[in-house]
This record gives sequence, C-alpha cells and structure tokens, in this order.
Amino acid sequence: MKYRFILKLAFRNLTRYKLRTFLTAGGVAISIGFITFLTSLGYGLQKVATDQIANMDALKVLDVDTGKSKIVSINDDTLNKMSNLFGVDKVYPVVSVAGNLSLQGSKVDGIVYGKSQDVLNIEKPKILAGKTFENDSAKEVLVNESAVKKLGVSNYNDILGRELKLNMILRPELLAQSQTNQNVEKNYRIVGILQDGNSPYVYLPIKNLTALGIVNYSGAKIKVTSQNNVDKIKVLIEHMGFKVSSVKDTVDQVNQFFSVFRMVLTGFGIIAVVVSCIGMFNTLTISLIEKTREIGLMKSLGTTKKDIRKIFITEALLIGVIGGIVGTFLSFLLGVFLNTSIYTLAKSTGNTPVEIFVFPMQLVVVAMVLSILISFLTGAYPSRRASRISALNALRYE
Amino acid sequence: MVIGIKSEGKKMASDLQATLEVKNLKKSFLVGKTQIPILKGLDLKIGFGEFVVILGPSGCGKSTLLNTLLGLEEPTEGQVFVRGKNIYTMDEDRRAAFRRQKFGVVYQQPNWIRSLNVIENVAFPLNIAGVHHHIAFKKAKDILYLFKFDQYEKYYPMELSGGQQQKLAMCRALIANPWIVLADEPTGNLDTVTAEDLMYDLKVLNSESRRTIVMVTHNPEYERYATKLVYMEDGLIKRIKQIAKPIISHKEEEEVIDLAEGGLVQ
Repeated sequence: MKYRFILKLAFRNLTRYKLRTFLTAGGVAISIGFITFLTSLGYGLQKVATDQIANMDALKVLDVDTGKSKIVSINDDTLNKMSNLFGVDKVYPVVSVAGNLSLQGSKVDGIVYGKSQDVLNIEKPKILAGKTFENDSAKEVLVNESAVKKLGVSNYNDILGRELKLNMILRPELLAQSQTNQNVEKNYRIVGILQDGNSPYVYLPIKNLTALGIVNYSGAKIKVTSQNNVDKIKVLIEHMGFKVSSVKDTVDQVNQFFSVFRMVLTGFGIIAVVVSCIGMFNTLTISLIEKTREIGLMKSLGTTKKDIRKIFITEALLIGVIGGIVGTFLSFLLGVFLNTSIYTLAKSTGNTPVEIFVFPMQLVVVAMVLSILISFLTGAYPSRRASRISALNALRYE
Repeated sequence: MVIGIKSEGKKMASDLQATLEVKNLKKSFLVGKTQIPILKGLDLKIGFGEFVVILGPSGCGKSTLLNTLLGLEEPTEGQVFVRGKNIYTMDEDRRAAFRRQKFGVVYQQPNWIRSLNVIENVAFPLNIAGVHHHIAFKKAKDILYLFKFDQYEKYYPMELSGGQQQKLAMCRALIANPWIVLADEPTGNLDTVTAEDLMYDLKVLNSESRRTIVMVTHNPEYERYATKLVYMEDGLIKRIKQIAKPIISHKEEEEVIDLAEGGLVQ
C-alpha cells in the first residue's frame, strides 16, 4: 500500500466521525497547549528574574577579595598576576574604607568605595540625579539615596554641586607601612545621587584613595572574556588564596530554582497529557471495535497486517500531531496575548514592562516530539490488535 | 537414492497438477475450552477453468473451507495447494500478497469500507497492491462502466440496493484481474431475478474469461451452472460429481494466468 493511500484512508476514517475526532484532538491540543503554556511561563519568569539580577556584562565579572586571610593581599602585583591568567579581560581594583560623611553640620557614618570609571561601566549603577564623575582622579563624589536622606536633604538637586566632607579611617592593612589606623579628612564635590542601598555609602574616584597611600586594595573586579571561563578562572584565583564570588553564582542558584519550578509546572502539564492519552486511547479502541468488519474485509482482499497497523498508527498520528500543532499554537497565542496585556498594563501604570511568557524554539520542537510520542504510545496497542484480528471472525462479526 | 527421487519426480509430472488442491484438511475452533471440529478431513482437487459449486446445509463447513482456500484460516491439519504451492508455508503477510494477486472474493453480505465511495471501494484492491492511484482510478472507472455503474461512482455503497451492492462486490473482486474467484453465498440476500443476473455474470466469467470459480451455496438450483458439484455434510465431503470437464490446453491456462497476474503491479 502506498503511504499516500494509507494517509487518505486514515484521514477519511477521522473525518467520518467529526465530533469524536474533534473532541479527541481537542483533548490532545489542550494538554499539549497546557504543558507548553506552563513551561513557557516557567522560562519567562526565570528570564525576568535573571534579567533583574544581572545583565550579560555583569555575568562576566568576578568579585575578588581577601576574605579572612591575613596572608594574601590584593595589590598591583597580584592584580597583574590575575590579569595574566588566560581568559581574563581586565582587572580593576576596588577599595572600601569606613568613613564619616558630613554636610553642613549633619553627620552620618558610611562606607567610602573607591571606584574607577571602568568599574562603574561594568556595574552601571543607577544614578537618580546628576552624573557620574569626570575621571578617576576628579575631586568628585557620588552619594547614595540613604546617605542623602540621613544627611537631612530631601531634594536631590539641592545637594548637587555642594562640598561633602569625608573623614576616612584607613586601616593599617591597606597601607604600605603603618601599624595604626590613619584618619584622613578631605572635601569632595557631590556630582550625582546613586539609587538604592539601605545603608549610607559614597563612590569616590579610586585615584583619590591611592593618592592617600593605599597600596593593598580591599578587593578587585575581574572581567573575563567569556561567560564560559567564569568557573575556571574562579577556581584559579581561589587557588591563589582569594575569595571569589560572582553574579553568576546567584544567577546559577536562581536558574536552579527555576528549573525545579519549571519541572513542577511541567509535572502538572504531564497530568493533563496522561488524561488526554487515555482519551485518545479510548477513541482509537472504539474505532477499532467499530471497524472490525472493515478490517476483516481488508484482510480478505489481501491487505497485509503491516498495512493495517500502519493505517491505525497513522490515524493516531493525525490526531496527535493535529492536536499538538493546534495546542502549541493556541498556547503561543495566549502567551502573546498575556504578554501584550501585561505590557500595556505596565506602561499605563508606569512600571517596567516584563515578558512573562517566553517561547524558545526548543519548546515548540519538544511539544511536537511529545505529541508524536503520545500518538505512537496510544496507537501502538490498538493498531497491533487491529492487525491481529482474524478475518474470518471479523466478517462474521455483527 | 538418486533413482528414487527421479522416479518420484516423474510421477508428479505425469499426475496432472491441480489448480486448487486440499489434502486431508482439518480445522477446529476453540470455543471456550473445547475444540469444535468444523472440517474433519477433506480431500478435493479443482482443475483449471472449473466452476465448482459447493452445496450443503448451513454449518457444514462450506464457508470455512472457502476461507481456508483463501489463506485466511490456517488449517489445524492438512495442506492447501494453489498450483502446487502449499500456501500455509508462507507467513501471513506473504499470504495476503499472494491472495490479492490470485483471488477475487464475493461474500453473501457485501462489506464496504464505509468512509470510501463506490469508485474508491472498487479500486481498493489495487490500492492495497500499491498501484498508482491514477491507474487504480482509471481501472475502477472502466469496470464500473462495464457493469453499468458509472453513474453511481460518487455514491456511497450503502446507499445502493442489495443487488447493486452485490454486483459492485463483483466489480471489486474482479478489478485486480484474479484468475480464481471465490464466492460465498453471493446470491443469499438477493431476489431471484437479481440472483440469476449475478449467476449469469459468473457463468460468463467462467466460460469466456476462463476464470476458475468456486462458489458456496445451499441453493440446489445453481447446480446447473457447475462443472463440478461438491456435496458437503457435517464437515466432510459426501459426494463429488463431475458434470463437465472444461477443455483448456496447458498453453491457454498459462496465458490466462500470465495475463491476470502480469497486469498487477506488486
């Protein structure tokens, strides 16, 4: 039998019972649609979460500090070693010292971070007002929201351009040769306000701190050439005795959480698939019983068992694949619809729009493979049974 | 040893090969836990071009014999030979291919594939054989024209009368150009006029187209069509009556078979 004819026969058999076929394929469509819908929701939420945590550049950055170790220190020498490692793009020192911020009599304790412009380019801190500093040695400072509030200023623009007095305590381990804490007091011009942060801190161009005699940095940021190198370089630097953390760790954890979350969602989908499988199996078995005589006739006319099996498997495949395509398409439409609704809603309320449904191509492929699998699974038994029907009994069958 | 084989071979050649032959055919069915014997040891030889009518009361095993000849029911014991070939040495799928190449069948009740219309049902045996659908359709159209069914080709078979359906079943049986036609009570559901009409078609098929016909019936009226009569009773052949011997040369037989089997693409 030509496959074209088998297809025609299977198709005719299905269209003969339109309602039944529609309901069965509908069941498959709902279950496949449900499973793709939930999985795409899982992917979408995961993407929203990881996007919030980090952009792609941030994933390529390692944070290095000395941890609790008193033996190793981060200085120009060790930074040089790190930058020579394979896969390292650039290394930036970071310094942080405790300090006291004072502005027109109000005082607040906070942390002073020495940052280079390169580091700010990686971190991309959100600036609420003003701008970032001119260069790495400018006498300028960025103050965070919390510090501004604690200094008693409510309007950010009021504070821009004013002088901030910083009293910094330089710990001996930062300096070249000193046994005691050194106190330094300097004035810097406020040029920008940083968003977020629960405790007060300021960003200072790093050269202002190195000029004070700091040789051992409190930490470093390492930018690697590719995300794939992150784990390898992390191990290498840890072997040098440093403590290394990266945004990627957090992202990995979030991803791990979401892969479990997605599995749970997929699990719900699988329950639906099982139910639709039972429905499909039922339909195929009933159609087999109804067609007992026809099968007998086909056999007496010389149809092989193989061809009879093919006819039934093809029927199952038609139901499964049509159901799968419709289901995937409907869940895609629903996802797009919900994404658009959320987008419009977020826009109108002034929130950041997010896409909570993501349809990777793999999902569509998996849905198709799944529906074909379902078809074979549910079609296997009825088609085998059909091929084994005795022609003689079948023709007597009333 | 060598001589023995030779002499046996000679014997086979001299003994005229039967077109259809059953040897010690037994068939029993398992009903519940007991084996019910239906055929209790039949021996029958059918020559080429014969019109065999098998007569007997209901339940004597006529239909079972027919289905066994068709290769549909494996016998419990004994063999079935078609031109010397023991058909039950082949597996089921091979037998199916063998069947559609050589046999045409007409049953008492016309069975149809209900999702296919008249012309598609008639073309079905060709489609099974993998004939290109254009050719299958063309042949079906030709045979429908021959049987004056051309105006019904888009109908569904169930929409036609019993007699029409039975004639249609003949079309389907003949489309693949078989050289043996088996008929199981083909007139059983028909009125006398329609039945005579159908019998006439079978007669022409036998006498002019040289097809071998085996027909099962319980109506003794059809004895007059037969060249050989087989009386069955209770799973056994009671009597065989040779009425006429069709005179067909070996050459003519080969021609008919070649023409029939050659026309069908496997």
